[in-house]
Amino acid sequence: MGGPVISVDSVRKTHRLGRVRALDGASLEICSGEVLGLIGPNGSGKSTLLGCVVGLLLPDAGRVTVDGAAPDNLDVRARLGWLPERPSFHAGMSARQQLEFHHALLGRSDAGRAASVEAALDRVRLEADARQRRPTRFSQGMKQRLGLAMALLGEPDLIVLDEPTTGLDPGGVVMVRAIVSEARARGATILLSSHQLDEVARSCDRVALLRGGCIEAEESAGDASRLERYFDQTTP
Amino acid sequence: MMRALFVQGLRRLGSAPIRMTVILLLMAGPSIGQALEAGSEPAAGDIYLALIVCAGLVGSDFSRGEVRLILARPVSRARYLLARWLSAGTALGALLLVQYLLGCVAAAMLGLDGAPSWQRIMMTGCSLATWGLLFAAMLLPISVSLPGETDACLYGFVGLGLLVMREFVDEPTSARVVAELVRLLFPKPDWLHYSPHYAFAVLSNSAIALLLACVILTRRELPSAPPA
Repeated sequence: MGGPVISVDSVRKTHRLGRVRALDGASLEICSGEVLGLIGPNGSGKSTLLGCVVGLLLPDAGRVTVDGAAPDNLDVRARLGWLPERPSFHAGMSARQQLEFHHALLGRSDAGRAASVEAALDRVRLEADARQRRPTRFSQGMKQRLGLAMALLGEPDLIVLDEPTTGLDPGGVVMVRAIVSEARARGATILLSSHQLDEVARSCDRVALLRGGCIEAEESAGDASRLERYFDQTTP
Repeated sequence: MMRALFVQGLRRLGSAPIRMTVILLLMAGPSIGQALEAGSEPAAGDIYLALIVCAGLVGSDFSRGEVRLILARPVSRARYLLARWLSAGTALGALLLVQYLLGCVAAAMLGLDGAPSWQRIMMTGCSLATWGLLFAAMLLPISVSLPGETDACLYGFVGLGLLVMREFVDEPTSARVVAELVRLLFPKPDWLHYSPHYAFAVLSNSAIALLLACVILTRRELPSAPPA
């Protein structure tokens, strides 16, 4: 495992004109090739922290850097795969066209587009007939698969996944575990948030526990029962 | 990359059946009216058509959450805005031109006098295309500030007000200042002469509006969580 790639330093972030404090001095470092799981209760600031890491949200105070650069740096973005919570898609394009569009946004050549798109769709096991359909009538699980395919497009070396198993059937959950494992094997750095303690324990090298906008503890992933005990003891 | 964003912007229009139906209805009426009035003038500043085409230009991407995925790619916000503007402006200009040509064809088929010359049609086409680009640019700062298609309602009221006020430009009333401002923001095209003054006004106004929209969007945060 290499040096830190993603660095979150004392980040504070409020929403709704300062009325809701989402992050309150959160600090975190993720090393190259590491898989870090972010867990915490609802409203603990997981999605906000991921939004800051991806550069969609601007911290009120503190600093987020990715390889020393700001997260909205275009070179950083070119290396990033991002799955937001409950992704939403363009209503006028089929699943395949959505991926082709995002492949073009990555600035990759047209030559390998079709193969790259099909590989991503194959990887998430989106059914063949669904690939031609618009995702407006997709189930939550199918949308999640399409979102995952988008995040994996172009084999990014930084992957940020916000609750990747939401809406997926058991086969889909196993698939996500395999995807994370493959990405780790090729050296990608992965940050994922989840409510599934078992999944985090199986997939991650390290776990950060977020509560009240602060990183309360960082642990090696270990077994799920230890994480369960931690939550049981610290939840009021 | 720009091409992909531009084409996606055009698809945004085509993927909304209700919007397309309203657009077709709005195009048909003025075309017939124009034909019956001897087919010489385009339906001056067909503001409702423009409003429907440009509604939710950027705001709908925010409301539906698509912008989270687009701007997490190596796409600068300025480039995204430019592509959105070009797609809406081009679509609007093309629709206005088609509407005008339909009116001309209808006038010719009815055998009415005063059918415009090719030169006149070309001149009018250029004016309509630039008017479409100007209109889309002027709405962009509003669209980046408002959610969804709520800008359409605002545009409706403001647009109606602007059209009314523009008519008072020569009146010695208190509305004259506002009317003059409106005339500066939305210069009325001269369908007969494509004047340098008009072209300059369109260019400068569009540039200022795009710059303003870019500043607003750069400071705006993007939703990292799904829309409620």
